[in-house]
Amino acid sequence: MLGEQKTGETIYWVIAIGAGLYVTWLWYMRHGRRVGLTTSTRWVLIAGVIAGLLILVLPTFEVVPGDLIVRGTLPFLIVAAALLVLAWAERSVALAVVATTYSGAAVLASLYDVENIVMRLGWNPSFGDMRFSTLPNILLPALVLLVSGAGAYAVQRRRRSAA
Amino acid sequence: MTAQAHPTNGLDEIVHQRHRLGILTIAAEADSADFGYLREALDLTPGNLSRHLTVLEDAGLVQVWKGYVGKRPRTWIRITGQGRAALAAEISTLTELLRRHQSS
Repeated sequence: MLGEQKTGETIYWVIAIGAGLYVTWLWYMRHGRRVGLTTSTRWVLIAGVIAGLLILVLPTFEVVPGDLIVRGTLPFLIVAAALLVLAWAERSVALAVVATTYSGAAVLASLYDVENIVMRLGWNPSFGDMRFSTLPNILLPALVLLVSGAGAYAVQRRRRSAA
Repeated sequence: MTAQAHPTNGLDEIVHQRHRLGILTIAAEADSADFGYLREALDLTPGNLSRHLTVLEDAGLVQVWKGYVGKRPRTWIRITGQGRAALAAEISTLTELLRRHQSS
């Protein structure tokens, strides 16, 4: 499962991506009813099935290049693909920029040990424990999402206060 | 020499009216649209919008139903399969008209 990942991690990602899609679907339904324009949410179901297949089935056929799965960050690329599809469906330039940046971070985290960069910057995330050495590979894509989310929240808040 | 049929002959009076065309295009882009949303987007009075919706509903191009969001009553509109086909035919005719006019 997922190349180098353990079964526990695979279960985590299936639940995490499933929960993410469910929360996104809930938000779209609620927001659509509030503004008076609901959009089709069938894409959530389709995305869920595709993501599930990618996580569970694809790696077993070994069609994914080893470099992409050796660090266990393949789910980041699945999330990146989902963000790109959402940006296209929403016709949102801002989300497309976020999705592209996140995709770049996810590819980098999959192909390169980000630890090398942060160590050069003077931070040793291992602290003598090798379990933490992959932390920067997770933090980098996560940071893109957190900063983008905070930015979107700030913009929305400013718009609401201006209205 | 016989005159070739002009593209405007293919325009459907029910669909072509600008407010009804607006209703259909908005409804085609969404799963369902609320009466208030359409009224604001198309800058129509409630009575005017209601009349256009009746025309479209009688023609079987949209489906109208009442629902609630919390305690607020809302009227929702959804385009039917027949409505999508009529809109596609209208857009196709307009495209043909545009092509003919620009190439003349």
